[in-house]
Amino acid sequence: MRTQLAVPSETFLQPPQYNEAVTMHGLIMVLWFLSPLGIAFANYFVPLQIGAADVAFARLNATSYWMYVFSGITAFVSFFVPGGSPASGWTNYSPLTSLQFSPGSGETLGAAALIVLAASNTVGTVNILVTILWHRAAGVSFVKLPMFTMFTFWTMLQFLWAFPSLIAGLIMLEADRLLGTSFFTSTAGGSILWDHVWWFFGHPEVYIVLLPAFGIVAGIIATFSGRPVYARKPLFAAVGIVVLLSYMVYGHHMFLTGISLTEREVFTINTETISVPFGILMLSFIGTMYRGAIRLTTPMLFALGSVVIFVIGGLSGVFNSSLALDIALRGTYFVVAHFHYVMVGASEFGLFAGIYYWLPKMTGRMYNETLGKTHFILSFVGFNLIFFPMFYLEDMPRRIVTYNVAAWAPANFVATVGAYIFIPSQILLVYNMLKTLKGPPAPANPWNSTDREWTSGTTMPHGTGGPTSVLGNGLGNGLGNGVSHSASESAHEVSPLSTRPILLCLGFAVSMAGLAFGLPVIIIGLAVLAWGVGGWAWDDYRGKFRLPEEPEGERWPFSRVPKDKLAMWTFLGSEAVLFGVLLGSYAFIRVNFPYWPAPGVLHDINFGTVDTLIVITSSLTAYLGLQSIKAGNRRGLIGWLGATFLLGLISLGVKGSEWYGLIANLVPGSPIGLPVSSYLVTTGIHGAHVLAGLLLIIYLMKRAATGGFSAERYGTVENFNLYWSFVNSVWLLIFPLFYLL
Amino acid sequence: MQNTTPIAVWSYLVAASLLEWALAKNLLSLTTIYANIAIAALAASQILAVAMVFLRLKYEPRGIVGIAAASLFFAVLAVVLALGSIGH
Repeated sequence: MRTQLAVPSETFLQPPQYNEAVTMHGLIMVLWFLSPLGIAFANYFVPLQIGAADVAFARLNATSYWMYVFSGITAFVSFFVPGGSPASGWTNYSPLTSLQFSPGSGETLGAAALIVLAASNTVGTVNILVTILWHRAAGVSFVKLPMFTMFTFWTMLQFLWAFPSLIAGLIMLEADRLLGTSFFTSTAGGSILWDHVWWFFGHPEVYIVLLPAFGIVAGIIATFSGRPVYARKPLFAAVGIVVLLSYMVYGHHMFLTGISLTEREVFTINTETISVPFGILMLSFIGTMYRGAIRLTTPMLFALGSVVIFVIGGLSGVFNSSLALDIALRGTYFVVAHFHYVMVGASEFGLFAGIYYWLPKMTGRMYNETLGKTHFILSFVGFNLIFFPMFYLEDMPRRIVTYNVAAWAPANFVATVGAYIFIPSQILLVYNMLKTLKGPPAPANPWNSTDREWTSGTTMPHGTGGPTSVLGNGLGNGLGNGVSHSASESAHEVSPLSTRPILLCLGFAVSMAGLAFGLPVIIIGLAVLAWGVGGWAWDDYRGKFRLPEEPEGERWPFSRVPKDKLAMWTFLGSEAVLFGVLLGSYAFIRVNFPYWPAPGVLHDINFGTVDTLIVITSSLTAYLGLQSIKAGNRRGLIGWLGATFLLGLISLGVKGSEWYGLIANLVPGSPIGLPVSSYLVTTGIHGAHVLAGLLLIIYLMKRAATGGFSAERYGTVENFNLYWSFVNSVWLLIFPLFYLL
Repeated sequence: MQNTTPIAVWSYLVAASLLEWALAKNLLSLTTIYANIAIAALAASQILAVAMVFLRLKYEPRGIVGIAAASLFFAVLAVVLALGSIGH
C-alpha cells in the first residue's frame, strides 16, 4: 500500500486489489495479530503472576487457540475465492458489504472467519477471567494484582461485552447476504444500524489491543526504574473507568452519519472525558520513573517508545473528539495517523517490550541486547516516519488508491520511506528471538523484578535438567501455554491430552466456511464438529478430565461459587449482550421502519402465547430436576429432564411451524422485509440456543442414568439449569416485542 | 428452598403471560398506550422473577449478582445508544 501511495498516479496496485489490501491489513493486524498477542501473554503469564498452576480450563484454552488458528486460515483462504477477499474496509461498512457491491464470496467467507474468531475470543475470555477471579494464590488480592494481570482483567471484561455485538452484527450480515434479509441494506437506517453494532464492538477493541500492552509497560517501567508503580490504586480505578467509557464513546466514529446533534454532543463529552483516566495512566508512568534508577534496556526502550507514541496519538485523538474538528478531519489521513499512533505504535511497542522482557523467562536464555536496541531504533524512527507526516495530510482523503495532488507527494514519499525502514526492521526481532534459543543461559531473575512470575521455576527447559515435567506441547493437548511445570504444579491435571478441541474447532470453522462454499461443506463441517463435541462429552462422561479439589486462595467475591458455575455466569454475561444487541437492533429497525404490521397481523398471538407457556413450564421442570438431584433423587432428575426435553422440542416445533408459514409467503428472489427478517434471525438464534440445550439434556440424561450425578455432585445440572432459564428469560422479551406490542 | 417457591413463580409467570395475551387481544378495553405499558411492565416483572428464582440470583453471592447486573447494564446500553439515533 505504501508503494502504491509513494508517488502520485502510481499504478502498482489496481483499485480492487488496493481495497482488498486495506481491508485485510486492518482486519489481520487488529484482530489476528494485536489482540491475540496480548491474549498469548495472558495465557502464559497470568497464571504465573497470580500463583496459579495453570489457566482455569485447559480444554477451553485449547479450543480458543484452535478457533483462532482456523479462523485465520479461513480469512486467508478468502484471498483465493472468486471476487477476492473482503474489500469493504476493516469496518465492513454497509452497504459496501451487500451483495450489490460485494457480489463475490470473499465477504461471506471473511464474515464467517470473524464469527469463528469472535467465538474464540469469547471462550478465551471466560477462561482467563475465571483464572483471575478464582485461581489467585493466597495473598494475591485484587489491588495486589501484578500490573499485567490487572490490565488483562479489565481487558477481558471488554472482550466479554464487546465481541457479542460483533457476533450479532455478523450473523445479521450473513443473513443479508445468504438469506435475503435486509437488516443493513434497508433504507430505514440500515447503514446506521451497522455502524452502531460494529462500533459498540469496534471502539472497545481499540482498548482491547492497547490495555494489555500498557499492563506490560507499567510493569516494565516499574522494574527498570527500580521503583514501585506510582498511584497504584488510582491506576486500577482509571483502567476500570476506561473500560466503562469505552462503550460510551463509539459514536464519535459516526459524527458524519447524520445521527442527532444531541447524540453527537453526548459522544463528544464522553470522548473528551475518557482522556482523563488515560491522563492518570500517563501520570502514573511518569511518577514511577521520577527519581528512579532508570536502566535503558531494550524492553524499557520499547516501553518508553510506547508511552511517547501514545501521548502523540492520544493528543491527536482529543482533536477528533471535538465535533466541529472531526467533521473536517474524519475522512482524512489525519485520522489514519491518529489511530495508527494509538493502535499500532502504542500497542505494538508495548507488546514488543513484553517479548524482550519475558524472552529470558520463556526460553531460559538471554537475547542479544545490541540487536534489540537496533530493532528499537529502526522501529521507532521508521514508525514515526510513516505516520507523523500523515498529520500534515489533513486534506487528503482516506481509502483512495492514488492521487494527483502534488502537495501531498512529499509527505507520502516520506511515509513510504518510513515503511521501508519499519517493516524490514521486524526481521531483527524474529532473528533475535531465534538467536535467543541458543543464547547464553539467563539468570532466574535477570531484571531484578519483584513480580511473581520471576520467582517461580517455570521456564522452557534448555538441557540443564531440574525437577520439571513438560505438560504442554502446544499441539492442542488441552494445555494451551505449552510451558513446563514443576512436579507439584502438574498434579492438578490427570491427563491433559485431548484432540477434541482441534476437531471441534476444525468442524466449526469448516461449517462456517461452508456459508461461502455451499451445503456439502457445511455438512462436512458439522459432522466433524459433532465428532469433536461428542468426543468431548464422552471424555467427560468417563471422567477423563476430572480434577482434584484445589486449595483455596484469594477468591473474593466468589469464594462460595464453584469454578464451573462462575464460568457459566461469565458466559451468560456475554450472551446477555448478544441478545441485547439483537433486540436493540430490532427496536432500532422497528422504530425507524414506517410500515410495521400491527400485532397479530404477522404473528399469531395465540400461537405465541401457547409457546410462551410451554417455555415457562420447561423452566419449572428443569428447576425441579435440579431440586430432585440435590435431594439425591436420580430418577426424579431423569424424569424432569425428560419433561424439559419434550417441552423444548414442542417449543421448537411451534417456532418451526411459524417459520414455515412465514417462509411460504415470501416472494422468491425478493428481499425479505424487515419485520420478517428480524423475526427469523432473532428467533433463529434463540432456537439454536434451545437446540443446544436439548443436546445438553440428552447428555445429562445419559450421565444421570449411569449415576453420574448425586446429592453432592450436581454442578453440571445446575449449570444447565442456569443456561436453560437464561434462554427462556430471553424468550420472555421476544414474546411481547414480536407478538404483542 | 422447597419446591413451593418455584411453583409459585411459575404460576405467576403463567398468569402474567395470560394477562399479556388478554391485553394484546384488547380484552381489557385499555387504550393501546396503556396496554403496551402494562405488557412491558409484566414482561419486566417476569424476567425479574425468572432471574431471582430460576437463575437463583436471590440466593447467589454479590459477585455473581455483580456479573449479572453489569452484563444487563451493557446489554441495555447497546439498546439505548442505538435508539439514541432514531430518526437520524
